[in-house]
Order: sequence, then structure tokens, then C-alpha cells
Amino acid sequence: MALLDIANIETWYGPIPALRGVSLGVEKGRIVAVLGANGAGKTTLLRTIAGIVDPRVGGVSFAGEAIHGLDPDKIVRRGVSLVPEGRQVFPLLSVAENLAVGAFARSDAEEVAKDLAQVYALFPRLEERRAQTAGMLSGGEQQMLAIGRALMGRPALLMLDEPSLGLSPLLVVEIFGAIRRINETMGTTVLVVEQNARVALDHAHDAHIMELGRVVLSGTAAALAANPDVREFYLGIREGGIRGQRRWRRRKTWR
Amino acid sequence: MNGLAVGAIYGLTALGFVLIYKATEVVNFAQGDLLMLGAFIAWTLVVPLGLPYVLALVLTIAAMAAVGAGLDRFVMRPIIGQPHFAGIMLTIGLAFSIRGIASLVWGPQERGLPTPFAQQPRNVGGVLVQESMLAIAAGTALLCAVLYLFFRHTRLGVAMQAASQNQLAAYLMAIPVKSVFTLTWAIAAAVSGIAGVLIAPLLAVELNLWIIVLKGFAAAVLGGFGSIPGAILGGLLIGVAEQLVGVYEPSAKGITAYVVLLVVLFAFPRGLLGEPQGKRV
Ligand SMILES: Nc1ncnc2c1ncn2[C@@H]1O[C@H](COP(=O)(O)OP(=O)(O)OP(=O)(O)O)[C@@H](O)[C@H]1O
Ligand SMILES: [Mg+2]
Repeated sequence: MALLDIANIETWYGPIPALRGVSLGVEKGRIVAVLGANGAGKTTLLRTIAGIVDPRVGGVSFAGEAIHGLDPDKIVRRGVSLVPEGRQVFPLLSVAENLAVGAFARSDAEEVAKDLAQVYALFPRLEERRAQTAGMLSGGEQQMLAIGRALMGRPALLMLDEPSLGLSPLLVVEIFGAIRRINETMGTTVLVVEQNARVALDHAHDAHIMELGRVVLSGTAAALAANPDVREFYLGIREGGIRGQRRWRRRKTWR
Repeated sequence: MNGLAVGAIYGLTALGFVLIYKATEVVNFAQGDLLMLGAFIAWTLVVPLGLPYVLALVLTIAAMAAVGAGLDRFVMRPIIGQPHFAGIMLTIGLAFSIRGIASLVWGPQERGLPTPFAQQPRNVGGVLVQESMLAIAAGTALLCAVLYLFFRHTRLGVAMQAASQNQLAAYLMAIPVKSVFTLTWAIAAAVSGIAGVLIAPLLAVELNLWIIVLKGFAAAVLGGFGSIPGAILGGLLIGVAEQLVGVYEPSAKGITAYVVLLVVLFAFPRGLLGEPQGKRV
């Protein structure tokens, strides 16, 4: 049984369907990437899991229990944390206060202190800037803070919405390296949504591709990275020969 | 000194505005009526029931906190997610309702709330000050200190700040945002209740006490509408200005608050301690 099980969910914004029947499972201990173009429904998928919006049809279960329909704060307490699109740090609180708020639901002070040390070890820059107001941090530092803040809740499943957004290529690799380390050293399962397919496929174990509110392709990250359609449409690698020259004739195989 | 004492009351009213606005983005125009209600509750406890002043103060704070929590839970919560306009209309309606209930229960007559503080002036560092004015100033300062410590140094206080800065992210940190709103209303109503008790030596307990809301609103805007120290500072400034104008030109006293407000907003469009255009998502 998968740690997270999404069964045929449909999520609507008023009359607009954003998810049109999505099913996918996230196995414990894996890093799972969800790729897709703008408007594919990636953010909506994470918002639905986190309880910010409710699915109209279908269900989400985590560790064997249904979590759809719960308020977001209840879902966090079950062990599912979301690092939202655009980081959303608390701009007027200091770095240390932001991290403390991340542990709001916990009462095990000693373990919280250990996790804080782990976050600072993961992102030494946060420790250097711990007294600084979060609104004054650079984009990359805010992303680190947003991830660290989510980790302070000690989630079993960490969800990230486009952590690479607006960061320099070097910083993107640094952030994904950290995600990898979180997964390996803390055993946290990761579900990450990305537009940057290259770096996501390089760091994930499994991947899914979404288009127009549906999952159209799933597999291991390595298998997807080798798929000719993915290479062409998501990695921008044009194969030589007839296929490359007659690209306009080709239809994606999954339609 | 009288000006400072009056200003402190304005500041506390402004503080109520700011607390609720920062947390819920609703401008609570019932703030003045809550002050009036607090004054009536205290009067009832002290005069007909004969309780000692301090006990009455504590009970008034508790009662007002319960009123605030109830208002949020049963009146404001159902409209979460509606346009701001709806929230403002609702608080105006609330103001009229509180006034209506108070007039049914207590009627239109003016009453005095006896306080243990003497009216005769005392010499404080070379200045002659009435003990009752001193009590208002000290009470306000103490309250501000308590609120400061709460918001800066307790887990719940920091979480409440977080919720006011980014509601979505607060939810994602497992902060029960709706309960934070309720707690904020409870605190704001309790602050109004304290103001209603402290005001006793300055004004009689009567229905028209709600009018303080206009000065409180001006003080909140003056301070930057969103800044807690700004609210108190704005209140003090208006109180002192009114006092000075009242000495030289009593007929102009009524409009002083608004003149000060216009002048300050001209110089500082964001208010005295307004936050620089924050990243609000
Ligand atoms: N609050 C909203 N109200 C109405 N429609 C929305 C809302 N949020 C998203 N949508 C629509 O739902 C669809 C999916 O949006 P979503 O934000 O999930 O896409 P995404 O894959 O995260 O895109 P991006 O890569 O640009 O972040 C889009 O067509 C979008 O216009
Ligand atoms: Mg998105």
C-alpha cells in the first residue's frame, strides 16, 4: 500500500475543472516528481492533498486513512506538509521565529531542538541569518526557509510546489541536493511539483506527467528521462533523423 | 496629563481596531460599543452588586473576552471568505445591536462608576497630576507591556502574528487560524472592556460612550493602521492635541482629532508607524 493514495480526484474552481480524474500513489521513502506545463493542475493537485481545496469527486488517503475534506491544519498534524508555491514565509518574523512557527503543533521540545539543528546543518545560511526578518532574505534563502519551516513539523510526506521558481541554476541544484539529503537522512517521502523537468528527473525516483488536469504518463524517473516524447517536449532534446524533421506531424503518443 | 490619559483611552480603542484588522482584515466599527458595554458591565458589578473595583475589573475583562469570542464564533465566522465590505457592514450592524441591547438593559441615564483613585492632584516629579489620570496611564502602559510580551515571546503570540502575516502559510503550519481569529476578537474586546473601566473618572457611564470609536479610528489611521505601537502613539497624540486646543480655543476641540489626522497623513501618507508596503499575498 502506498503512503499517499490519490484515487480519481476531480477538483473544480467554480465551473472550471482543474483536475479531471487524477489517480496516483506515492510509495514510502521515494522522491516523486510531478511535471507539467503551466496550468496543467500541478498546484491544484498539491492544494487538494493539503486540504486547501476539496475534491468534488474521489478521495485522498494518507497512511491508510482518508484525509480529504479535513481542514489544512488537521492534515498537517497527520504528517503531510506543503511548501507552497512562492515560498510564503512570514515576512515580518525572523528566520528563527519562522522555524519555531513550523513546529507549532509539536510539544516534544527536545526533538524540536534536534530538528532545528538538522535544518541549520542542511542550510547553514539560515543559521547565519537567524535573527534577520524573513522578508529581507533573498529568494533562494526564502526557499530554504520555507523548506526548513516545513521540516520543523517533522512531516512523513513533504510536498514542494516548484521549489526552483525564480532561482539561479546553481541554486536550483543546491535546493534539489538538499531535497535528496532530506529524503536520505531523515527518511522523508517527497512529492515535488516542477516545471524544470531536467533537474526534477535527475533527483527523483519516480515521476508523473500531467497535462490539462490529467496524469498522462507515469514511471520511474529514469524511464521517463529516456522516453522520446518526454525528451522532446519536456527536456527540449530534439532527436535527429526523420522524427526531428517532421516534428509537426507527430502526435504525442499518450493522446 | 489629562490629555495623555484621554489619549491612552483613544489608543486602547485604536489597539482594538488594529488587532482585529491585522488578524482578520475586518475593520470592527463596534469597537466603541464594546467599550460602552464594558463600562456598563463594570458599573453593574460595582454599584448594584457592590463588588470591589479590582474584582469588577477582572470580571469585566473576562466577560468582555467571552463577548468578543462569541461575536467572532457566531457572527463573524459565518462570513469568512466574503468580501471585506460584508465584514464592515456586519460590524456596523453589530454596533447598533450592542447599543440597542445596552439601551434596553441600562437605559439612557448617565451613571458614575466610583473608582478607588483620588481626584486631588499629586506631585509627581514636580508636575501636579491627578491620581485617577495616573491610574489610566499606568493601566494602559501595563496592558501594552503584557500584550508586547505575549506577542513577542509566547508560542501562541508568535503564531498569531504569523497568522496575521500570511493566513495560508499559517494554516500549513497547523495553526488553527479560525481559533486565532476568535482569540483575537476576545483580546480586542477585553482591551475595550479595560478602556471602558479606565475611562470612568473622565466620563460618565452612558450610551454615548460609543462615540469614542471615532477618535479611536482616527488614532488607528494616524498610527498607520496595522501598527500596535502606532495605535497607542496616535491615541496619545490626538489626546494631547485636543487638550491643548481645548485650553486655547474650546470651540475647536471637537475637530482637533481630524485636523491632526489630516496634517499627519499629509506628511506621512502611511501613518506614523505604518509598515512599508509589505509583501502581502
Ligand atoms: N483560484 C483559481 N480560480 C480559478 N481557476 C483557477 C484557480 N487556480 C487555478 N485555476 C485554474 O486551474 C488550472 C490549473 O491551475 P494550477 O495552478 O493547478 O496549474 P499549475 O500546473 O500549477 O500551473 P503553473 O505551472 O503555472 O503553476 C488552470 O487552468 C488555472 O487557470
Ligand atoms: Mg503551480
